[in-house]
Order: sequence, then structure tokens, then C-alpha cells
Amino acid sequence: MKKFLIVMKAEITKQQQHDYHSAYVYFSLLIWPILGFFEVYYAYKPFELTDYMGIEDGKTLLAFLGTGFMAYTCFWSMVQNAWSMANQERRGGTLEIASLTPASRLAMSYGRALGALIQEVWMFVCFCGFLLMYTKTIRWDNLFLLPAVLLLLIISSTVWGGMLNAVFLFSRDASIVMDVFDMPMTLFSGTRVPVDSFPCWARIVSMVFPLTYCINIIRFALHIQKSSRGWQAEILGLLICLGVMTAVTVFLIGRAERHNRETGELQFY
Amino acid sequence: MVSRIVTGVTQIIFPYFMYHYYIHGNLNSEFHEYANGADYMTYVVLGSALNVLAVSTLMNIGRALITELREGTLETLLMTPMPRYAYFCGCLLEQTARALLEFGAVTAVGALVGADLGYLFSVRAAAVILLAVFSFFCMGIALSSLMLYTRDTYLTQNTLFITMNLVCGIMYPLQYLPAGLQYAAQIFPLTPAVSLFRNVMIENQSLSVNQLLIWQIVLLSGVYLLIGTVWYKKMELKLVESIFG
Repeated sequence: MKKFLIVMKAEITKQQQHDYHSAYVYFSLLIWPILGFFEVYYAYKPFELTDYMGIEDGKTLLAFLGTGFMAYTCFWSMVQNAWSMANQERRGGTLEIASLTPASRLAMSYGRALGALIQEVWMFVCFCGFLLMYTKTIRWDNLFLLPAVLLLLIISSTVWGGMLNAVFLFSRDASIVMDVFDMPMTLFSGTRVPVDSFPCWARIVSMVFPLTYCINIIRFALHIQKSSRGWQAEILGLLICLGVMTAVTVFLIGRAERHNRETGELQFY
Repeated sequence: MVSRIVTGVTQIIFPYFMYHYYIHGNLNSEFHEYANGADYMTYVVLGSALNVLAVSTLMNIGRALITELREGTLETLLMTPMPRYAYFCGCLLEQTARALLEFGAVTAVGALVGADLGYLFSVRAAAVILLAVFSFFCMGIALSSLMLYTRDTYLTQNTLFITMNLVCGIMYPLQYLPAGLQYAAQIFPLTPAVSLFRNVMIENQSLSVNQLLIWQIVLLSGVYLLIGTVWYKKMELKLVESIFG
């Protein structure tokens, strides 16, 4: 366990030294999400808001979108990061060195994800936090929910990011994954549109994404929206998803390494 | 290309889900007033389709020179006695075919989700599309100078496109935005182009009724073309020094 933590810490430090405070991070993870947020907010303007599914006026809409975007940005930054990290490690030639060390691969995957998560999303999460306070979703009496929500997000998006890191071990250019993942994940997880209003087939698709459960739990805890399945089912769903993702990560990492040992050369790229 | 089609389709699918499954077609009276009683899906699909055209034209024209610079062919290009406008026109011709494919893909998806695109194959609509592409081309020339100046494509292009998505009235009528943003939106040719396109496609208005919008597009094109040309001429002198030096 101690070794596991050491490796994770090392990966986090590496992440930080690699691209902390670059202009790229500020734009792609603060300014663009904020502009995108307002685009979606105004896209709701032509609609007559009734109390359907808990969105009754502009403020509840802001709270609804704020929670959705907060969770989505955490998950999305993982996709982006796994992509750029896999690229840099291949080009920089550090991927081979990493696979020569006896360090736990799982710890490396999670460390990579966690390091990126913390440094990339704090700004936008602050924005969403202010938004939730402005809409009085978070008040003094339920302030303790905020750290709980953040912890939930951090844990689940780290597991998600770890899995993506493992996926990107296989491919040299998996940028297509970014295009393909982005839209379905945003749509079906209910970031912008309540999942409960979807037809049956879309709700089944939405159960694949762990983000769905995260968003539902957060919205339930903050009294924005009730889940049709009940919160116990949501937590169970999230736990199952996390378990499956961890299993997939372990399986993929082993598989990728074996594959590289057999078919790869000393240099991957 | 895939990513641009995905983006365009996304801009249709989201409103579709919101409109059909969530809100059950319950629009407010302001929308009817602002959009002149247009059908919501048609309104959104037309905006999104023209936006795809704008993005791909701006991308391909704007990135032309900096791509040459990155690949190391810009010096050769500058040494040749070719007229610069011919180079850009070539880029435009080459990319318009691709852009129209993307445009077609997005409108096809739009037709599937129930947009009424009956007037698409008319002379008027074609004229509007041509005018729009011309104005995006002029803006693209200014953009190409900006990209050469900053030596950056990624941040510039994404910031520009996300801003345009927000303020140009693609998914919703411009009137919902704060007044300041509405005025700011007028500097993008996409704003008048989208409303012109909608007037022609939804209400089948003639071009002469929309003279004001057309003049705005032409004026903006002229301004961008001027900025782009002057800036590029200045930069070319410096580029020669910095590349060869």
C-alpha cells in the first residue's frame, strides 16, 4: 500500500511539473467551459419552464446546469488528459522506461489521473461552487455537502481517468475517442438535459456512463432533482460502475504490456 | 472533418432532446416573436448548418499559411512570384467542396429530425450560401494573419468558435442575450448571415427585402479583407527576415 501511494505521489508531482499554469490549461478548462455553460443556459431560453423535473425558473436552471457541468468537466478533463499524456509519454520515450520499472501500473494510471484532475479543474469547480451559492442551492446549513460532493467527484473521475489511461496505452493516436466520447457522454449522462425525461432506450444507454450516477447523486443531495430510481439504486449503480472500471483497467494494463512485450520493439513510437 | 460533423450534429441533437423529450414542444411566446413564428427544429438546424460552414471555412483559410510555416514550405511559397490572393482563392476552392459535404451531412441529419428544408435547393438559398462563404473567407484572411502573428492555432481558433457559438444566435434568437453582447455579435459576419439564411429559408423572403443584412455582410467582409490584407503585407516583410534570418 505504501509503495502504491509513493508511486501515485510521484506521478502527481510529475504532472504538476509538466504542465502547471500553462495558458492552455486556463483556456481549455476555465474560459471555454464557462462560455459553453452560458451557451447551454441561453439555449434553454426559448422554452417555457414549468416545474417539470425540478427546473422551474432561471435560478434552478443555473443550479441544474452548474452541477451537471461541474461533474462533466471533471470527467472530460480526464479524457483530454489521458490523450495528451499518452502522446507525450510516447514521444518523449518515457513510456518504455516506465514499463521497465517495478512500480505498480495501476498506481501510475491513477496517479496520472488524479494529478491532472486536481490541477485542471479547480478553477471551473470554483466557478460552479459560486454559482451554487448564488442560486442558494448551497447555503450555510448544507455547506458540509460541498466537500462530500467534491470527494465523490474526485474518486469516481480518478477511476474513470485510470481506465482511459489504460485504453490509451494501446493506441498511438486515439483522438477519435475524444470526438466520439464527448457527445454521447454529455447527452446521455444528463449534463444538460434531465435523463428522466428521456425515452426508455436512451435511459438504458445512460446507465453505461458512471457520470450519470454521479450527477444524479449530486443533484439528489443538493435537492435539485429527485432520481426516479431512488438514491440507493444510484449509489449501487455507481459502485458497480467503479468496480467494473477498475477491473477493466487492470485487465487492459496487463494486456497492453503483454502485447507490447510480444510485438513491440524497444521503442514504442 | 469527423469532429466538425459531430459538432454540427451535436448542435442539432441536444435541442432535439430538449425540445421533444424534456419540454414537449412547449416554447414561450418570446421565441415566436423573435423568430417570427418559425418552427423550432428548422430554426436550430439552419443555424447549426451555417455554423458548420463558417467553422470549416475559417479553419481552412485561417490555418493555411501557418500550416505552411510549420511544415517548412512557407519560404518556398514566399519566394515564388505568385499573387497572394490567388493562393487564398485556391485554398477556398479546395476547401469549399469539403465544407459543403459537412454542410450536407448536417442538413441531412436535420431533415431526419424533422426540420423543414424545402427551400434549400433554390437560387436564393444558393446565393445566400455563396455570400456567406465569401464573408467567412474574408474573415478567414484576417484570422490567418492573426494566427501567423501569434504563432498559435489551437487557442485562437477554439476561443473564436466558442464565442461565435455563444453570441451569433445559432441555437437561439440573439434577442435573449444581454444588449451589450447583441451589439458585439454584429462584428461577426455569421450573425447577419444566419438571420439572412433563416429569412430566406423559412419565410422564403426575397433578397431585396433583406438589403440591410446583405449590406452588413458586404461591409463586414470588406473590413475584414482590408485588415487581413494590410496586416499580412506588413507581416510578410517581417516573415522574410525571421524565416531566412
